[in-house]
Amino acid sequence: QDIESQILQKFQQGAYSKKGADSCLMCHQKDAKVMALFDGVHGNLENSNSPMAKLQCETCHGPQGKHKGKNEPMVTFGANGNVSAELQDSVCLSCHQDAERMAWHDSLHSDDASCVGCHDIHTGSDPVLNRASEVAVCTDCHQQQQQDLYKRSHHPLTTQAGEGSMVCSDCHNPHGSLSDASLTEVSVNDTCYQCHADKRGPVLWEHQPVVDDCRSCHNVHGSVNDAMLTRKAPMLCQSCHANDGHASRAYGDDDSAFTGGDSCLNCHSQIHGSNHPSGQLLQR
Amino acid sequence: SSLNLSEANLERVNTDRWDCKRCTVVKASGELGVSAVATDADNAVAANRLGEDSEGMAALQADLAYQQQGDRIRVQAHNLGMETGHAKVDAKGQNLGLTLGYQSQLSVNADEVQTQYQVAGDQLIAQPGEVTLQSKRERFELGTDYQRNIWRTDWRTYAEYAYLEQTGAKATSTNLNKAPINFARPIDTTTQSWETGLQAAGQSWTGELSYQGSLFENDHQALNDGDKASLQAGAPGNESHQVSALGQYRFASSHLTGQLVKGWMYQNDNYVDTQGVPTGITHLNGEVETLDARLRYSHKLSRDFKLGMKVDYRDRDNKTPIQLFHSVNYDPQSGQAIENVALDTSRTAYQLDGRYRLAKGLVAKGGYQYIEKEQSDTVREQTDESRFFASLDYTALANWNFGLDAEYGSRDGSAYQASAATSEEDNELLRKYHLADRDRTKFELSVTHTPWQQLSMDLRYHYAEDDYGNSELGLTESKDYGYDFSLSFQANDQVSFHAFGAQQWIESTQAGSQSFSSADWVGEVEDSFSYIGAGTRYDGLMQDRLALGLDYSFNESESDTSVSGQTPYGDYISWSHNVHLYAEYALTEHATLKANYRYERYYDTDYAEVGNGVIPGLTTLGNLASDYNAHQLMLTFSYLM
Repeated sequence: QDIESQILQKFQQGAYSKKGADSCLMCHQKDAKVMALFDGVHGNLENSNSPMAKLQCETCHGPQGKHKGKNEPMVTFGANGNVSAELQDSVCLSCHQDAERMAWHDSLHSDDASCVGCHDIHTGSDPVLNRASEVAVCTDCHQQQQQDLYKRSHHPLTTQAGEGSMVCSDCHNPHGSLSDASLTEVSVNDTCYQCHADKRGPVLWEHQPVVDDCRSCHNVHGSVNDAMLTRKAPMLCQSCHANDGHASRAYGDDDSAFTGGDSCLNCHSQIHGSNHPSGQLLQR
Repeated sequence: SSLNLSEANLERVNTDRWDCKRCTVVKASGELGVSAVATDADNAVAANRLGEDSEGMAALQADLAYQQQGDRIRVQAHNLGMETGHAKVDAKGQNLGLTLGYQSQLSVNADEVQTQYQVAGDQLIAQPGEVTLQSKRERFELGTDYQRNIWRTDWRTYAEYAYLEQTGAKATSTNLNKAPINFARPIDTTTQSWETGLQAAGQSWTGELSYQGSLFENDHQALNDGDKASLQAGAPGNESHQVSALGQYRFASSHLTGQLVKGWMYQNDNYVDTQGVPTGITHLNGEVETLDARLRYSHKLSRDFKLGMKVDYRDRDNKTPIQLFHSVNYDPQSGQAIENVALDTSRTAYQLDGRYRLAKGLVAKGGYQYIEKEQSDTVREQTDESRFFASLDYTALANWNFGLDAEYGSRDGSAYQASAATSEEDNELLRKYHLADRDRTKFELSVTHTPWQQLSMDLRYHYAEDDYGNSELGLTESKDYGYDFSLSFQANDQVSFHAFGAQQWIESTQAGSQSFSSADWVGEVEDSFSYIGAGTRYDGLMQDRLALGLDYSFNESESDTSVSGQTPYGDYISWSHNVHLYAEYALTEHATLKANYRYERYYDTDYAEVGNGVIPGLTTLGNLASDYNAHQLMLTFSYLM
């Protein structure tokens, strides 16, 4: 019989201990990690929502059965846990099945990780719940996004001293959402508008790719170009504009106003749209 | 099968002797620290990495929790007092919660910029001066929630309010006498947002009704050139409202989740100039309505097989009135009448996906998505995209994990045609890349090897290609490929090492026509990025009182652009070396002294940034490039609870 089946069987039998946490701590209290549970809300006996106020250690680790003496397995958590990630998560969802975690079952994280893959329970200070350390937890797996944060332009998420005012969960719900890429808002643009409400409009003269999707021109995690642009003007603009005239010309390093300074934006500076009555060419 | 507490067999539980005498009651835990920060930087851009550019500063650090009976207060602060820092206080009782938060963030684009024009009030005046292009954001937030279990249902109601203020200056451009002027425009905006909702959760269902609103205001909307002309309109004030209904029902082996969101966006600020505006009209009366409806169903056919399907519908209906504007483009004599265009979009995405465990340690995932998009008043009003995606994870071999992800997508759509409203002047061979036919291929291979417990290595390679096969003009091809690796080694209980590296290349090809016919020039953009670093940490020195650490990283971004028959564009590069040396010394059981030394060597350049007057007729902000060394020493005294 494998360990997972044995644990499920124990769970169904419900042979809980006679003395609760005292019988566990008789052996485990020397382990500082075990005792760190009491620093956090999960170890608060006086909070009726806490697991310690319910079945104490056995709330999460399952009924003791013959663990003491015969060393029957208890539920252990983490990548090397003795039950599947889904079963581990079912313990957490006993209390945390709520609106914020509604899409958890369909999220990529539930397939590839588990609650304790990101969360530390036996602590008073879970790193992923601290803005100063959240990004480091996420980028432990999301390494390409971490690299993007060191490009020429990027959102201020890196964990150096000066940054961290923005974190991954400002835009993404790590527990999943119904939006693409588990965004917190219903669309990419709605997510961007949370901090860039100046781009929201509506304005008199709209620029179609701006209304469509901010990612038409911006790489939101970082870019080798300024302003997180996917390419630099004039090349970016000339991908879509080939009017008979200056938009069609082949420019090089020619010290002209079409490539120097702000390039196309020297004149078309209101590239996100203009509310000027004479701004239909996004010049005003 | 589940280990959910609600399914536990509690018939034999007898808690009469569960005294928990060995349990400890920790009232206060965590640490509180005060930092003295000395920064030596001759360029304000250093604040992006160091969080501060002034010479001396004090900051507060905290990660504290205090519990009394069932109530808990958590205080977090990181570099509070510095230009970039934040703090949050969470108080949570059995039922009632309160949150107070503050974030400050400084982003500097360029220091000591020489501007030839300055803004006074709403006037652009010719007055040389020096300005720092930077944006300072300060955000204050306040929230409360109340939760209770009534009728075997968990109820929670919440309300949140946030106030975001942004100040500083940004580079922009306008025209004076048909000559472009780059100048620094002040930023002074606020965004207020609020959200409230009611959530309920039963044994097998969850629901939420919520509202969120946002109000944006801009103190710098108009920009004038004396009485002669209205030069520019800044972002107008606007407001947004969304009402959402979200629900889920969980059957024995399936989940059904749905959401309906109705949104409204308004913009009614007065025009900064009424020239060309129809008589009697003072503002846009801008109004956009949005509707989002999403439904997701997933079903677990067996322990190894899960299937899901999803429909996602989004509609943007721009109800802004269409009016005839008499446009004035710098020369009042060449004014033209033109109607504004209210852009509508509609998008529906259908998705079918599955996950199947083929064998122990071998999991396959895959799916198909079809995206249908309609956009009004553009050169292609409908696009259709099919995406196939799949991945394979293999973890059955001891010490090895393999992952393979692949995607193929194909986009086409309705006839591509110039529309009178938007592009009558465009070359008919041009295909705008976000609407053009496109074949997308992506794959990624990752390997993790843990030869023994102390050593872990990761290697990943990715390749992506977008092929715009039917675009004769515009973007024709784009490739993005690269690799990254990381290594961590725990030599013993005290010493650890880590190293990492990455390189990425993004290559784009586009074509243009100077003769307003077929392609007669080709442009190549080659972006590259390199990132490498290493670090070590030594714990347990001086009878476990001292820990030392060192981290180093180097990054370089580069972009090379060439156009056939033309001189290649010049240098567009940025690179930086970063060093972080730190020491943590335990003075007593409760007191720690930490020293952090950070060094940054930063350099960037951009061929487009030229001195004022170098390009005839163009007034610039000069060279905005940064080239500096910056040092920062932070000493933190912490008290451990």
